[in-house]
Amino acid sequence: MSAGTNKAVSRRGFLKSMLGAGGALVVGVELVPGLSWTNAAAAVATAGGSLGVYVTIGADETVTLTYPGAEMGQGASTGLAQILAEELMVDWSSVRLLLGGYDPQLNRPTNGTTLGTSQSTGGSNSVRGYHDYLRNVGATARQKLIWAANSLNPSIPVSDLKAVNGTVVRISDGSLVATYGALAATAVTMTPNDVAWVQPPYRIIGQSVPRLDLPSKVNGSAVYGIDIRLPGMLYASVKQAPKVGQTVGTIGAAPSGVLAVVPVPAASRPVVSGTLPPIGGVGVVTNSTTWGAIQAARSIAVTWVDEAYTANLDTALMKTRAAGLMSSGTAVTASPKVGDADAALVAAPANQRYSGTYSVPYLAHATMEPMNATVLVTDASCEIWAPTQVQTTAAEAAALVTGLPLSAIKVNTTYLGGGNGRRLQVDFIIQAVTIAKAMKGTPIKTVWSREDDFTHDYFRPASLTKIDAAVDGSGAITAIKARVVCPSSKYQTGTLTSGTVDSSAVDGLVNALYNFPNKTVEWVLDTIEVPLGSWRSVGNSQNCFFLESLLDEVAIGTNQDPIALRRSLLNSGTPTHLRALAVLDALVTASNWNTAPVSGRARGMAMSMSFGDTIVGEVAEVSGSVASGFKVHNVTVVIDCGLAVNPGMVKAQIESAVDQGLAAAMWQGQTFVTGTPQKRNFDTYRMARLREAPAINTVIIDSGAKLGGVGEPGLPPIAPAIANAIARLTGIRARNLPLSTMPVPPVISSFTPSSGPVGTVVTLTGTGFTGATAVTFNGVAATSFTVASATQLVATVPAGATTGKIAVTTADGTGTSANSYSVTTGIPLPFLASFTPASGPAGTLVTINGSNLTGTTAVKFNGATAAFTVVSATQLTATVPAGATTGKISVTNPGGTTTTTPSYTVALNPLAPTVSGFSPTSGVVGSTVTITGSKFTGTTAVTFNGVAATVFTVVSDTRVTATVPVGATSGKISVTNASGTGTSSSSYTVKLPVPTVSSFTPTSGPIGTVVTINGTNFVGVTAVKFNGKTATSFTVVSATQITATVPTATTTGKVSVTNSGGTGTSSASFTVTSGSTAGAPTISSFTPSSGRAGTSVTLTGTNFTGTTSVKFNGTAATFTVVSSTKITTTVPAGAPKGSISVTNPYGTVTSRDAYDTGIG
Amino acid sequence: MANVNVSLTVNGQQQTVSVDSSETLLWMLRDRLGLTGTKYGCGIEQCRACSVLVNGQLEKACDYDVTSAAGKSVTTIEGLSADLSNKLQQAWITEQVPQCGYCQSGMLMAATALLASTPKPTDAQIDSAINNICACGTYARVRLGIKRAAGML
Ligand code: FES
Ligand code: FES
Repeated sequence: MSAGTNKAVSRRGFLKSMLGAGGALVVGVELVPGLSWTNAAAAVATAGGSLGVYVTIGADETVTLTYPGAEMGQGASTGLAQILAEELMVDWSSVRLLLGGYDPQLNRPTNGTTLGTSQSTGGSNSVRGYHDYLRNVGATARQKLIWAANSLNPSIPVSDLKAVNGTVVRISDGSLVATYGALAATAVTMTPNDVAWVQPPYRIIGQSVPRLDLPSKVNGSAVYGIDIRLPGMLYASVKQAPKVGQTVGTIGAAPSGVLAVVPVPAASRPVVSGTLPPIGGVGVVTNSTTWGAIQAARSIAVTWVDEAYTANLDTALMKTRAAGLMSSGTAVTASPKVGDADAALVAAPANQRYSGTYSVPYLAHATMEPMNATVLVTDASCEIWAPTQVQTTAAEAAALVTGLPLSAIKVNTTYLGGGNGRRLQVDFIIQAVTIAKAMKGTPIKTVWSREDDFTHDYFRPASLTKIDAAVDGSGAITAIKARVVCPSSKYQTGTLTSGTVDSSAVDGLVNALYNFPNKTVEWVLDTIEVPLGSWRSVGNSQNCFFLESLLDEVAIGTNQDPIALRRSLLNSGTPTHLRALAVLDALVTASNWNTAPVSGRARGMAMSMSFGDTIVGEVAEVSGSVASGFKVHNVTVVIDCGLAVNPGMVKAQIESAVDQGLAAAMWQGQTFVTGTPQKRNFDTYRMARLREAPAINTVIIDSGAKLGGVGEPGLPPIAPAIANAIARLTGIRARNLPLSTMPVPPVISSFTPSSGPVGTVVTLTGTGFTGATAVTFNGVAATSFTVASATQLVATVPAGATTGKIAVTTADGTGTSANSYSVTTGIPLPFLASFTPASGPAGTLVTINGSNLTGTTAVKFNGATAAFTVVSATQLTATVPAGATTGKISVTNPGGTTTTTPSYTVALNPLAPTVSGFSPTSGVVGSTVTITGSKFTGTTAVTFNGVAATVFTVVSDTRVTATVPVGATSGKISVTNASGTGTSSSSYTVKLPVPTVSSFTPTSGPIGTVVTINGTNFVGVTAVKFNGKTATSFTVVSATQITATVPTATTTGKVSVTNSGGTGTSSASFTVTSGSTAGAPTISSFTPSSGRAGTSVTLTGTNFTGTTSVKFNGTAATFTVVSSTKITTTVPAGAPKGSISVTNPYGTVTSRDAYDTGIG
Repeated sequence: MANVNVSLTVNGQQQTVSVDSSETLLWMLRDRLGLTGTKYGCGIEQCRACSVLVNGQLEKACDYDVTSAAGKSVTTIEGLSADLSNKLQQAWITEQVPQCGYCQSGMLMAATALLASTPKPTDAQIDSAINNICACGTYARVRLGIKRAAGML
């Protein structure tokens, strides 16, 4: 291990200085990480006594106040310190904070003087739960200090002494008697009998003093459970079961680097007091890092055994199961029951009844700090450092695991990276103690991965709740009946008395702050085994959503302002109700309730009373749509929590509750597939981000009521406030959370026509039309509509319809048009649905389908009037008129004209042409061919063996003339029209152009002379003749030049060139001279026999007259025929060594010897 | 599980640390150097509780290969200041931003990076720069804290 800050060392140093400060009570700093709470208490005692476990005064005049609970962000550590500091009469700047560990002296009090049986932090009960007790503790300590001053200065009577800012002074002249630091040791022994609370106005209570824990939370020094570091500490994690409700089968070999493998009790089991869960996880200890331990735990092979119920933990199955319990489960009625809601509901007429079935999902706690604990077990002791909300339960669990007595267990509370109810459970502590017990003498830090934290939670229960309400003729609610189906953690831990109601199932319903003349709340227990726990605001988190949503449905249905509706339910003159009215009044003002929000937004409100009669009203302002999602812009909150000990912290808690409740309402919910939680990290379990957090305006009402809770009451109203805003924004009631699962209703983006009388068929364009169950025109249902596609629907304006918006309803909701449809009087427009065929020539009979076709006065094809017959109201036929062109069909009746969307294509010929013959049957390019056949009208192309004629003329429907195009070759002729192509059976022969001979050179010479012939059309040349004698050798150099050799036995005469087009003959004659060549050349010798390119070589041989080429090993050379027996030639560049050849019209001779060119 | 030595600068101090070569910067900082202000929240680059600056650049330490940090300069929350003299820390106290505080180291590092590049950020710039998860709902105060530190309040 490397060098680094070892906090354990500084901790020991701290402890020593505390012990060494002899005489006085000394503790002078905030909890130092890892400080043993029990040791600190012992040190205080050793130092000579105590003003009690809560108050320690240092020689440096600092005042250290013990916080008995869990500081998980709610700020209660500061709130309790404020109460103590107020009574102690010390200055806030001298106050230090000590996080108390497990100590029965720190148990939650039951009243101002009596301690209860355990330490736990929850139920928004820290400040209000400890307030009276700590007022007494502080007041007593203050009087002890005053009495100590009197004891040390007997001449000054207690009646002349008072405490001021950490000192005791004389009342008579204000002079200083002693500082607290000087009085502390003596104060310990005093027993004052004149203890009384400080009276208002207060100095510190009610002030937004800065929190004591925050400095350490902005420089990284605050120590959370996961941050504990002890000398010799090893790192552990747990391989947790992949499903909820599994035990360990077999455990594979330990991965390398693992120091110990320890089977541990299962996580997320309902913990029944005095027993441990079955083995359901495998602890893995390493000496690397926490991440190393998590990786090692992931890699160890473990087989798992399902419990009998595991496969039932499946969201789809559980929904069906809850629905069954809703319709037929046995219910227990919660008390109090008021009047007879069932009878009132039966008596109410249908239009005075409201009913909604709502649901919420299982929620994860998702604390930012994953579960963890650090534990040192020895033979005689067990010490725990943990982020826990329940020090007592943690100690009891450790005693159970280790077999040690409770007196041997120490629990040190660290800061909590969120608690939220998850750390009311001790499964992670049981696992950590079990691992440490296997590693006695070594501190072990056990940390869960985030994935395991999500998998093994004690979830906020899902609930399915139906609420029925009846109203009287004036809209006043006369009866409410709620039927709740949800599981119960009390049932799971065996603490639910059969036939009674788990209060958390109905909290917020049975004790709602409204007066209903008749009210029944009943509960059906779902025995499903999803592990359950408390989540911020517990039952109120869902039941407020149910009740406040239903009230909003009533408000909308009876056209009442929702705040006015609630006022009417409150108005009974009791103190609670007067406070609630004041909250509503403040809410109206602070939210600008009576001024409409900006366009595109709507407001919704909700309120609740919870956790010691704290009353909260909230207004949320929302924009968006189901399809695009919603945005909560701002939230106005009014809270009356009685005395606000620290208003700044009350506001922070409201902001916290709103953000957390908003994220849960919008996006969150754990789902299961055969026992496996599906959301295992923040990528799938969506948390709010900064850009999604609303602006929150909090108003605190100081009503003077007794202290109420603060941490939780802000949460319940946010979900219904948002849902109620959405109902006003969209007309859609969200009855199931999270809101992100709201089904997307249809959207009508446009419709046509925009007006018309009853009977008009209207085409709607939009989305989500599939499965439409109703279409209404200003509320009147269309009796006839057809869903053409998900994006198009046609509906007929029904009898009785009036001008107004069009709405389409599907199982996913109702979508309403932005614009109104105007219902006019008169005759409805024709509606054209389809026509067939889609094309054809004049004279074609077209069938048009639609409606409102009776009374048709005109049918036109692209403006050309057609003859037509009305077959029925939904069908007519029309004949395509002569001269019609391609375009839309329109149908007119006295109501107006309707035009088709697609065009009708007027094809002049409905059939393809046929080609029966052509004349002439051959010709050169450019000649004209007459083609005969049928259906030539509308010809679009004529081709010759595939090459299109650029010029053709349709002479008649049976005759076309075309010019043979350039590039055409012999082949069949085709004629094409819009309907197809006809092709001739025989081929047209494309002849070549006839050659012409304009000149030749030389104009005379002996047999064998090579003559160059100039002219035109030398293409496809088949013969060259000299006075009728065919040249045996000729070469077509280009289309205008040929070289030919005068053949043997030729006589003087004209030169001709022949191709398939004909023969061209020269006007002049070629004169054959004597001395004709006698035959092929021979080579007898050459000299020199070697030399590079450019060397002049003399060849000697015979028949050299008429030589046409000389080559050196194939490379042509320049040469001069000196005589019939002698040629001079020049060695060409690049010729390799080899033979020399000489060619004349009779043949070629190759030398026997090689000429050496120096190459090759 | 190969062990290697990595040399780097952490909060201005030269360090040579023996690490598992497959380790990420987060665990070296927390478990090898004892700088536990940098937090583990998700391990999959979602929550940003592990945010630190590497050569001045905002990085998620849970996914920053420790060997890639060799030779670089890392700043953690402990490097902002121990005595709360940093203007963002002061603004955080003034606005009483943290609640449980677990996410706040990451928040402060993200805010540090934001103000370094954008001394006077708009609301929209704050919205897009701060992607950290806070389960306690301190977002409105984080926004105020940034503006206060930027001298905009
Ligand atoms: S721990 Fe790194 S982003 Fe969450
Ligand atoms: S302050 Fe607790 S997670 Fe942000």
